[in-house]
Amino acid sequence: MVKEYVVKGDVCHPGTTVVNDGMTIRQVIEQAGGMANGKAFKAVQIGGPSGTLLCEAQLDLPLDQKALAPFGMRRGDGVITVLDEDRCIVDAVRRFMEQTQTDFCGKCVSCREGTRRIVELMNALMQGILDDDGFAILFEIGEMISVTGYCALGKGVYSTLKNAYQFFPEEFEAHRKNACSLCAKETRPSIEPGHIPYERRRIVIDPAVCRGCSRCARSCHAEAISGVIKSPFVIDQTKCVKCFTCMELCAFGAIREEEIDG
Amino acid sequence: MAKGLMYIDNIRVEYDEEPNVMEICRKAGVEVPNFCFHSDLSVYGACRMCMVEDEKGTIAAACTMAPKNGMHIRTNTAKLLRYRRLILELLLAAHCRDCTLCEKSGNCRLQDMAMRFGIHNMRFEDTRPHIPNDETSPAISIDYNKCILCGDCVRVCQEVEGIGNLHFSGHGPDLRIITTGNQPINATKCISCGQCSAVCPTGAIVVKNEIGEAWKAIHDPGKRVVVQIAPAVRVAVGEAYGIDPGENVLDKLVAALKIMGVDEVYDTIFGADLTVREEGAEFMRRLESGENLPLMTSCCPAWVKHVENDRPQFLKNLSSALSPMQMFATVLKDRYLEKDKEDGRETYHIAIMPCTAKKMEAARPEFRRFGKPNVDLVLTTQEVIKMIKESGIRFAALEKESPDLPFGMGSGAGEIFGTAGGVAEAVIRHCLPDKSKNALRMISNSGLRGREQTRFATIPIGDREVRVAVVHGLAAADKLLDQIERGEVQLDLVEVMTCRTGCVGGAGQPTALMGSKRKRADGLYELDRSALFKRAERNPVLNIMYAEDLNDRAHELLHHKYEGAADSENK
Ligand code: SF4
Ligand code: SF4
Ligand code: SF4
Ligand code: SF4
Ligand code: SF4
Ligand code: SF4
Ligand code: FES
Repeated sequence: MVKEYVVKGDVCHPGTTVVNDGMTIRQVIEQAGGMANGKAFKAVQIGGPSGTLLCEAQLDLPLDQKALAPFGMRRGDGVITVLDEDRCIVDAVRRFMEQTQTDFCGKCVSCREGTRRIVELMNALMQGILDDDGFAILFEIGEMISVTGYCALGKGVYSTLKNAYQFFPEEFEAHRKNACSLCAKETRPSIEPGHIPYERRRIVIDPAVCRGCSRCARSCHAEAISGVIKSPFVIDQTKCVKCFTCMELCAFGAIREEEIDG
Repeated sequence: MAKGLMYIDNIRVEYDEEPNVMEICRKAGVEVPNFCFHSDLSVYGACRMCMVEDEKGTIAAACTMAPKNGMHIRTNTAKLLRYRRLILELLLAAHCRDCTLCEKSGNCRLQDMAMRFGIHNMRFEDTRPHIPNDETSPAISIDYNKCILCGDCVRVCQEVEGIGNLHFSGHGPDLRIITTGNQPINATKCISCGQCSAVCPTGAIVVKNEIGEAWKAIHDPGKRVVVQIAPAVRVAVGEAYGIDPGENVLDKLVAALKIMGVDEVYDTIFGADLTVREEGAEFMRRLESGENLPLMTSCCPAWVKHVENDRPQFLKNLSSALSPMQMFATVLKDRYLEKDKEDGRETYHIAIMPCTAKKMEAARPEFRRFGKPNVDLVLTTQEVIKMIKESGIRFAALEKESPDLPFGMGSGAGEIFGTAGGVAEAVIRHCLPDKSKNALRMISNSGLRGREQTRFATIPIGDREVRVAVVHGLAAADKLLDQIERGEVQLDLVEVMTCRTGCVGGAGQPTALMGSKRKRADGLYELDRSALFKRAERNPVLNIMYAEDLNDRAHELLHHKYEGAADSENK
């Protein structure tokens, strides 16, 4: 199946790119012109704040949900943010975490209050003023949200942080000592996180398949789904936050993700 | 046959209609921590306190988890406890934890949970911007800073009362509760039912506290403080002192009030008898003429407000007979005019009610005479409990004391005013020419009593089959009104109570689940069974008063025609 992705960050030709079945992440980056300014690749974030972060070791895996699921990739997110060797990983993670504050709905306590604190703690880490307890709490909260969050958006938020620490522990350690060499010489603005491209994708209910059971409507915390029992339900695109809760619940497979043309 | 079988912490439970694991846990006797679950409301799943673990180690919220046969659920694994503590800590971190200043303290689910989990150390600061309180409602106070966004108030206002006056606004860290249009609540269509405060697990929405006013009056030597006590109060007040819901503690309450310094204590059922007689007469007149049927009860002020706000076409159906509280107050103030002059004291009238809306009713401009409100102050059951505690009175150990005479007595019909269906039953008792025991039994078995939210009964009065409906919860009432409008049901008498189960479930009562509310209602039916007389027209004091001059002055004192926007706007 052909899918469209948006590639951004430190590549030569940022923008929309078509990904064929089986294409590896490396090939996708190459298709976007490869790394810019002759710098080397460091990490790639796929899927925005509730997506995941990968490094060199995963570059030859195919860009699909199944293959990347063990690394925290979730279904359906279409933005790829590429980071080069000079980017500070802590700063990148901080920006993705900050993005949650504008992208997420805030309905459930674990995610609303958890991400609020993660952002605070990441900011403290950036400034080199996070103590040992604070550093431990950061991961404690992340893990808690990944288990207890109401929807896939919140549940996915920990992957980026967890993987970043796993792949680049030395950068986190440097920040704890307020001695990050990358930040010291960085002059570019922080990486702009790829987040859910609301404008490019939407969740739709296929009226031919929907039996009008109302299960999706009851599950949608954004109250975006309405309808009359036994006739097809519809999703209000202005309200939908693209959490996929409904899609996972629908017993008839009537809900799917769609690319918006143009 | 049970639908399935589950194990909750190794306790074997069969389940039938329980829609989620939360209810099944309750059945097993395990109360999973929760803030946003109410069996009467839709499931919301936001607080994440109710996480449980199944046999595969999957962790999910019990309130949204569908039961499956053979499931093994653990509610307290090490992991769960860790997550729950952290969630609770995060919740408390974004909360102004000024418990000692808080109206809800001692009765707060958040505080209770914090104590249960022993949260003594707080690792985060409250970084939220401050939102000003809303004190504009006569019935409730809102402190948005104490809100934990459980959504219970939003759902009760919409799903049970059909008003939909509270909403979520914003998203992410800025998510908050607002009233319709983000207006001060007195500028909205709030009907002051207070049900939002009754479900709120924190001190964010509470009953307006007017205890200070009460003490001021009690300690004023120039004031004669006269109290009336509503029926629903007597079967609930004891709950704060370990007495079972439904047990009548009127006599202890009278004793407590006297110790606190109240001069005279009377019974609202006296006013209820007046309402029954006036409303009964009005009903018979309307049956005769066929005009403005069905007659709709008007003793619930929140319901009246709703008709004024949203269903003005039914204003003409509302009974013009005053509510028992207002009946009592007008007659009292009228009778005490002389007395006040004689001993140079002013009568200050306090009504103890299960109800927050009564605070709004008491403040309505049409219920004033001689420049003063007929009811000077309404105290809810909750407030009275606080006053008793403040006084250091050991309530459970009090000697009994009867209400004063002459207004301290009333009929069994007056007692059941406190429960949904009671007003209709009392009116029918009054109107039915057959005064035998069998007739009483016939009425009580006619369908007016029961658990359904909307109940119908057909009762023969003379040569007519009178069709009666009882409905509690305004969302259900609105549905009934729609049916009436479309001509799908033909009715003669409709009783509407805003609170589920009627006034026993009023928002001024101690917080309670459905089960306790039903027990309170049973308590009132029990009082009716043991009452000296069961019909309003048998009230001897009233009979004397009617014989004197009340008959001629009934229109002036005991009736008010609700005419809509115009008459309540001119406050
Ligand atoms: S419902 Fe989803 S996006 Fe909203 S706060 Fe919870 S986990 Fe986050
Ligand atoms: S419509 Fe579906 S994907 Fe969108 S917010 Fe609702 S549940 Fe989530
Ligand atoms: S709402 Fe509860 S926890 Fe909060 S200040 Fe009041 S009593 Fe304390
Ligand atoms: S008092 Fe009643 S009508 Fe007013 S906001 Fe609360 S629940 Fe809604
Ligand atoms: S005001 Fe109370 S009931 Fe309403 S959302 Fe806040 S905490 Fe919950
Ligand atoms: S049902 Fe009773 S307690 Fe509830 S609002 Fe009406 S009068 Fe008040
Ligand atoms: S009770 Fe289940 S999430 Fe609140």
